[in-house]
Amino acid sequence: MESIPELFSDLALILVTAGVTTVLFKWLKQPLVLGYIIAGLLIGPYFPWFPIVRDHESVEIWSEIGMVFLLFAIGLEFSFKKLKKQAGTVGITALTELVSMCFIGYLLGKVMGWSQMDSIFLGAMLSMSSTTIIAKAFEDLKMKGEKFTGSVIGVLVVEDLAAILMMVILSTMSVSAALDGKELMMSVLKLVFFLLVWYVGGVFLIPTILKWARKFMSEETLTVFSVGLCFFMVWLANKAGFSSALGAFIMGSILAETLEAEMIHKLTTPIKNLFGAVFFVSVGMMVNPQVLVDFWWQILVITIVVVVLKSLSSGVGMLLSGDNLHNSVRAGMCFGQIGEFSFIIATVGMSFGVIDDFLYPIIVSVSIITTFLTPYMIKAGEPMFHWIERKVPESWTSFFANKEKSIKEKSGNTVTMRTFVLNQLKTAILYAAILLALTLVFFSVYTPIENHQIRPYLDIIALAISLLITSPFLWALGFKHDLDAETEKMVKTNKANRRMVWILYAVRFVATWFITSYIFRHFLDDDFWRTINVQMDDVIMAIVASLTFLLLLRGLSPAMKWYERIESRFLENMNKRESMNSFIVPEVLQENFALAKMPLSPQSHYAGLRIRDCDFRNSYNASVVSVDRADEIIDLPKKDLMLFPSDEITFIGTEEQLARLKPLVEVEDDVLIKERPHSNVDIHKIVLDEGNRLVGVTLRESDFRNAYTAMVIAIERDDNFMLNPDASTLFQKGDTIWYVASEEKAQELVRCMMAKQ
Amino acid sequence: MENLPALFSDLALILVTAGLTTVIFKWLKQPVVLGYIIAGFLIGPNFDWFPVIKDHTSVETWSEIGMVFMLFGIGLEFSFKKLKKVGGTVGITALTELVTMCVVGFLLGKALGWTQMDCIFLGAMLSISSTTIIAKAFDDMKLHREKFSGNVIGELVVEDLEAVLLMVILSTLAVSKSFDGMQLVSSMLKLGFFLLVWFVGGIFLVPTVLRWARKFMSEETLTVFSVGLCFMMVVLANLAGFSSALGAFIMGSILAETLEAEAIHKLTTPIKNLFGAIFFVSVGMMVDPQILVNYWWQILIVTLVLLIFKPLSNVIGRLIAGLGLKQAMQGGFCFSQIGEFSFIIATLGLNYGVIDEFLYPIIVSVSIITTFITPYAIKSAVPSYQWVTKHFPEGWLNRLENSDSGIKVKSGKKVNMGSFLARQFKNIVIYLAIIIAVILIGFFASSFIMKYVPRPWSSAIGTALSLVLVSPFLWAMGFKHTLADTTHKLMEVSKFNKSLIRFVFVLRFVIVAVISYSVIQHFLNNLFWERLNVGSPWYHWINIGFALVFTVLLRVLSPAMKFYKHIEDRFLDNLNKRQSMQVFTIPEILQENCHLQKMTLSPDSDYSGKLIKDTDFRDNYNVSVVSVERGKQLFELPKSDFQLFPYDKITFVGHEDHLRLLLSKVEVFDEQLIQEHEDSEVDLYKVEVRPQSPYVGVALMDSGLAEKLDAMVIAIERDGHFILNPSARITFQPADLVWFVAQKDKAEFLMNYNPDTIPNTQP
Repeated sequence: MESIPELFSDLALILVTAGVTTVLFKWLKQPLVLGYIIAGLLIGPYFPWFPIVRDHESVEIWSEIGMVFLLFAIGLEFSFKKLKKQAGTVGITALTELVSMCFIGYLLGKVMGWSQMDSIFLGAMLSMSSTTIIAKAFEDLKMKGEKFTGSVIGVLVVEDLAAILMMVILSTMSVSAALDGKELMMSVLKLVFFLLVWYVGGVFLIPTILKWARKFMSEETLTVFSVGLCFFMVWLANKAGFSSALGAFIMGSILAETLEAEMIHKLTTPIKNLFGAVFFVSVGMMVNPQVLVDFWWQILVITIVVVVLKSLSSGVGMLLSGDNLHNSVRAGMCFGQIGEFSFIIATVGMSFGVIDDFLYPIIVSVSIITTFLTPYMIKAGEPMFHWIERKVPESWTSFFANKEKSIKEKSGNTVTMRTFVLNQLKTAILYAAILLALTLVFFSVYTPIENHQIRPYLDIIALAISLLITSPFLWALGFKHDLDAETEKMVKTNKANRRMVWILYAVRFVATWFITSYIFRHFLDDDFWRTINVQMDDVIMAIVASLTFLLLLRGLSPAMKWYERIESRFLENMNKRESMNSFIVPEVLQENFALAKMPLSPQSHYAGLRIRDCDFRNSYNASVVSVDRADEIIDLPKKDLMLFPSDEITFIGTEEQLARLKPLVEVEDDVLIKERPHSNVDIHKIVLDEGNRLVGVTLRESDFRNAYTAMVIAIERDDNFMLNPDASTLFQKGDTIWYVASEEKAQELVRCMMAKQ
Repeated sequence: MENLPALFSDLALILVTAGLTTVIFKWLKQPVVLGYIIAGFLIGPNFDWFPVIKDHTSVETWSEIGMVFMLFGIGLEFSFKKLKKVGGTVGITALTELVTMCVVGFLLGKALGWTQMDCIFLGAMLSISSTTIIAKAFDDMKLHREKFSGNVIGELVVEDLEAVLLMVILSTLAVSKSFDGMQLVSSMLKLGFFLLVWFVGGIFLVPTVLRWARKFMSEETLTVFSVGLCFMMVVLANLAGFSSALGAFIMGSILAETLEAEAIHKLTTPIKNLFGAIFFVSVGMMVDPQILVNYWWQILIVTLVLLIFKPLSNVIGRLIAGLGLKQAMQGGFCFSQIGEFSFIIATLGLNYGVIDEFLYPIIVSVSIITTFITPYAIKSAVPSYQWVTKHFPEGWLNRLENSDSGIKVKSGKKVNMGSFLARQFKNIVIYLAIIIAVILIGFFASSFIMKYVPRPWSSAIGTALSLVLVSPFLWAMGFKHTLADTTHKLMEVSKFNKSLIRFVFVLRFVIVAVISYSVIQHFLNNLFWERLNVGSPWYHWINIGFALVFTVLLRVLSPAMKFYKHIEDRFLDNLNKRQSMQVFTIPEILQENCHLQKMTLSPDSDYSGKLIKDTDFRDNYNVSVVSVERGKQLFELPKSDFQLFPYDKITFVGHEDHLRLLLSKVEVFDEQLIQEHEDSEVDLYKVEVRPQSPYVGVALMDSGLAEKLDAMVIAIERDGHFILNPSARITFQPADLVWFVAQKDKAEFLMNYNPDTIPNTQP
């Protein structure tokens, strides 16, 4: 018969085995990831009593797709704004941990006598914690509301970003196979450049397209479209020389700023789970038990290092960032494991062939052991804190003790010269990147032809088009100095400030000039001038021509207003998701206040209560700002508004209080599918004989409803059915009454009837 | 850098193009499927100005996976019980249409001078309508409430089943490359056997496993598990020699009977959509415009034939089934197109290499044209009906006219000989299939033992193993019926009955004996007896003796066989699992007239937040609320002042038609997936309390801010500290900075009205 691709039987094998092992691991209350890895071990080539995968190539591609989807999902949950908000504390912690772990890992590798590359990769792999495993553990241990978990999640977000960066660096190093500082610099710069261009371009284009298409999007088209975009970005990233993981992450974070983000997340999760399962299983398939036996002591050493030093370094990081000892210890204990990112990094190393084969199984087994330990480590946080408190001298602990920041007051945002300069630089770099990207596109599209007859014309046309398209950005870079009133005042009053501003403007103008000349020079090169018989150096001509052009542009300033529209569209896209909130909390208040939108789940005990009867204000010091219900938004609801399940309630309050409230409002079910509570009502019938007391009584007067809580659903009379009979129906002799009631009520009813007879 | 598999760029190309074309087609109000096909056409090898696919094998595999997921999805929505319920009328209609179209298609192919195989495939392809396109058209035209729509949907379910059967027949034909009656029958028998075994085994095993695992199932594990099961069945079906589509369909319909069905459906839909998109795009990729140009008149003819005969045969089928002319025409006109199943059948033919290359693009273009026409065909049903009533003689019309069957009464079911025999026959067939399957498993297991254990012992062990495995089923086959009450009653009725029943029992006994004998004979064959030095004629008798002893032993062991009851109960329990989600089961006599239906109340529904007594359930729809499920709670027989919340699961009792009408009111779906919010009018403002302000020294609750101005004070900044969500008793002091949320006009009013509190804009 028709032969099916081998991939089918492989998928059946992988998924069924994974399904069974994951359920087993859930039963044992262990993370799913371990189940997948064990499944991979079973069906891997090193386990003889089990069928093995045949179409290795396809499974590998599937596992790569799994990696893409995993990073796409991480991107979807990533938010630059969230990052910016927490930047300070979280950044310090993450950096401390990353740097020390990289260093320790490298040293450890060296001590064990591994090669340079292996040591570097070991450092990188040890520095990454596992977002999924920590998140999973919080969920299992019901710790989501606790304060330190917020910082932990923040650190994980930073780590995600750092991991991406690290992958790029490692890939570059793998290609050059040496630690070349200059090349590394170049590749990081290139990364930043592309990131900037993609992000800016993506935030400008994609939400604009989606906005138009929104009316025509069904779940199906949205799925296809977003997955398509993800692969498109993967392809683009690859063209530019980056890993597919980076592309997926970028597209995820671009889509995260759209209104569709949540929907896309929901729709792609099953796909991610499917391919992710294949990825994790194929990780397990690469574990060779023989290697584990041979390298058992290295595994042990690395495991101990991860568990002890990783927790320690992140705890120290937390302390450095100014958190108190209690939180630091508890948060630090969460980071004692390595996970999916380490696999991804190891895969990168393997695919470049720069790390030794034994490293992979070692990392996987370390990850398995540490993952297994994580929940116990997190639980041990509290006792650990007490232990430290007891053992460590008083003066130390009081040094670290609660320096909980009192609510800071920063009312009135004063614009200093420093922030002004920073802003100027930021915008200048952004514009320069966009311009560079555009010019690169033009240069690669336009290739001069040999024909000397029409070549000058073509050159000029190409130049004109390029200038036309770049002109708004050139104008913005060169001449768009938006000075707000306050800075202007400052500039007027202070001579030094004025000089500073002028210098900045001059720098921007020169940069613009430089870029413009570059464009001119590219299109109107030596050949061009020679063809039209002008004996001049092309560079000088370009400089002169571009100066004229720029002056013209300056003159056109009023006409450039439409650039502002591009910019405002961009900003609008950027803030789209935030605009879902009723209003934006000003920066001054952000330290203290947060808005949070929570859907009220039917299981929550708030469902069906009036706001007046809820303890939002008393117990959580939070107020309800608005309620989103189906199509309407109820702003500033009155006290007697009843909260329905699935209302989306926007609260205002402190971050911690809201975090505590969240699990009570968004109650999540532990079990996906419940067997229904057993119903004890059933359908019964009663035949009205002669002399039954119901004969001649209307349904309303009978006490079916009140005395027996029974509901009459049909009366069978003369071979006819009356369905849901009217309340005024008269019962007659010979009627068969069908009614629904609980067992005991029905028996009672029958007994009653008998007695009355 | 790291080398990207070609599949990645292919996926990017396929999905982005498909995303764009489908959105454009949605804009043009055309079905999404057409968008996919056009996308495929664009990126196909026959269209020059566009990049093309590089990794053809992988894309093909993906499109096959798409087919698997589509049939899995159809299986998930399929239900044997639903089929049984719609049974009669719908079955007749579907069969009429199928047979007519197969014949018409075959003849048309012949007339066009095509080969035998092409003609057969053409017939098959023209006979199956497109579920997705009809469902889509109903959605677009809001026809869900019309009476005929229920009938049409029922018929589509039957057609799905027919299509699966057709595929099996066609594969058999394709392999033997000729129309061999004998082989067809044997392959149908084989199909029947496997279907039975899989379905029975599946219903027994899968829900049992899931029941245990339910507590540990997250969305992730359920996704992985169900997709894994689907592929496992695909592999099994393939090993047995059937198409992967059949395997996927079977696993879908097995999972459809579990409690998890809905969750699985929800979880696998995005996966289905993704792979399905690739399937349809690759359908489009196979369209060669050159062929279309060369075969334009064949396409035209096939389209015309389809447009005329398909609705016609359907209308006739409906009339035969006893529907009124108007309903028959409204229903029949929906079936004027071909769709995804035709592609699948065509793909099948191409895979086997039995149909010509040109058939595929022809079918795709016919499908495209007819899909376009479908909505117009449906709309034209009523005018056509009016035309027919005007132009046809009265006498004919009267005969065709509505013979709408009134509410039938079937109170009290009688057991008669006919139904007894039918049931006996059914049971014998099912038991036989199970027994054969179990014995095959026993043989398979024994073949392992044979490898490790020396000859005579292994045979003995094999015999024992197989017989023990199969004994409960053999017992059920041979002796279970003797315990039933009704049979005794029947036997008392007449002598003839008695002897007939005796005969059936003896027959079952004989079957058991024969099966036992053949099992024993399989293991204890002449090789075995030669070892023991027993001669040829003798061991046959010994084996027969063993078989008889075993059979009698089974009879004696009847009391011990109670555990078979457990197996059977578990099976029935699994089979009825989803039904048991209902509050209670409606007795069979009421089923004609009265149905239970569970609906989830949408937040957009008018009924959300209403009390039951304020709804028009009883007055307008003649239905009552039996129970309401909310989260983990279950409210049975709710009182009339019970308030309905969004997402309550409400169980109604009433007539099917009424329930269908109500469904569209209770479960309201948004047309648009994501809505932009209207801009909120409230914003955050701050105002400084001046020393002269009348608010100084006034408590928040007495200030009237909340009541008169709808303003909510969220914070007071005092002495460099923030007081968050201040209590109602707090009093305003001079130099307080009050942050409040309010509507713009009210906020401005507040800030400007009182000359003493001025807006705080300057630092």
